[in-house]
Amino acid sequence: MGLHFDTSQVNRLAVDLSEAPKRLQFRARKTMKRSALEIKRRMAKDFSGHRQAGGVPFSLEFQQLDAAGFAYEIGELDSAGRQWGLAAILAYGTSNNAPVVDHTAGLWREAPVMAMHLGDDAEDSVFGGAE
Amino acid sequence: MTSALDTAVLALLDASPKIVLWAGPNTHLDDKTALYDGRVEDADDKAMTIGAPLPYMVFHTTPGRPVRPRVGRSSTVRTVEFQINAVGEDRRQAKWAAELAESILDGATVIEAAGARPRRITRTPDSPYVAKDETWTRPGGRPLYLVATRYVATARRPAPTT
Repeated sequence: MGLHFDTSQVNRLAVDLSEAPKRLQFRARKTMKRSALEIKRRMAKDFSGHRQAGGVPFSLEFQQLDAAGFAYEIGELDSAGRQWGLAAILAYGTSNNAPVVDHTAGLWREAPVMAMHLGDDAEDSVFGGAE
Repeated sequence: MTSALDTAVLALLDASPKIVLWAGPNTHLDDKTALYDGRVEDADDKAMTIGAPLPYMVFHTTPGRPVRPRVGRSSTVRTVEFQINAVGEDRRQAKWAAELAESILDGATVIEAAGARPRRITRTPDSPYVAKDETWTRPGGRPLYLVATRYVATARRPAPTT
C-alpha cells in the first residue's frame, strides 16, 4: 500500500525557472523531502490505535522515486515485513468491510503547507532570499 | 449533501443493464452483477465467509472533504470521495467488475439536487492492484479476489474573496 501524488507541476515550475539566478531544484528538493516526511508522520498517526494492527504505523516509510528529488512514494512499502497488507486492509477495506482509515488525509492536510513553501522557493530562486 | 450524492452514484450504476442495486432477498439478479450499499448480503461474520453470487460490487462512501486544495491551484475545490470494492472468484472476474464500474463512473457527471452544481466523477490514481482477500473466503474455503477503486466527485466553486 503506497500513496503517490502528482508532482509534475513542480517539475514544470523547475524547468520554467531554469534561467532564474538561483536554481529552484535545490530548495524545492528540500521542501518535497520535508513534506514527504511530514505526510508519513501524519499517516502514521492516522493508522495508529487499531488493536489488530498495532505495528502498521511503524511499518510506514517514504522513498524518493525520481532523480530530481520531487517525487516520493509514501506508505507500507516492500520492507514492511510481517505487517505487509494490514495497512491496505485498513485503507481499502475487504470483500465485505469498509475502509477505516483515510490514508490520503495526511497528504491533503500537508498540501497547502507544501504549496506555500514551494511558492517561497520559487520566489527566492528569482529574487533571492536568505540562505 | 453527501447522502444525496450517494443516491445519485448508486442510481447511475443501477441504470446499467449489467448491474442491479441490491434491495433485499427479493432482488432478481438474473445475469446481473449485484451492487451492495456498504455491506454484503449473505455474509457469515463468525466463519468469515461470503456466499453472495459473484462477482459483486460494494459501495463505500465518506463524509466528504469540504475543501481539497491542490498544489498550483488558487481556487478551492469541494470533493466527496467514495469507493467501489469489486469482488470476484478470481482476478479476472474481480477486474471485470471493477472495469465495469469504472466505465460507468469515470468521467460521469452527477447532480445531487435541482440547482446544485454538477459534480464530475474521476477515478483516483492511488487505487491498488487486484488482491486476494486475506480475511474473507467463500463458504467452501475458496478465495475471493478484490479490486478497491476510489473515486472523487468534484464541484468547483470560486475562490473566496476577502
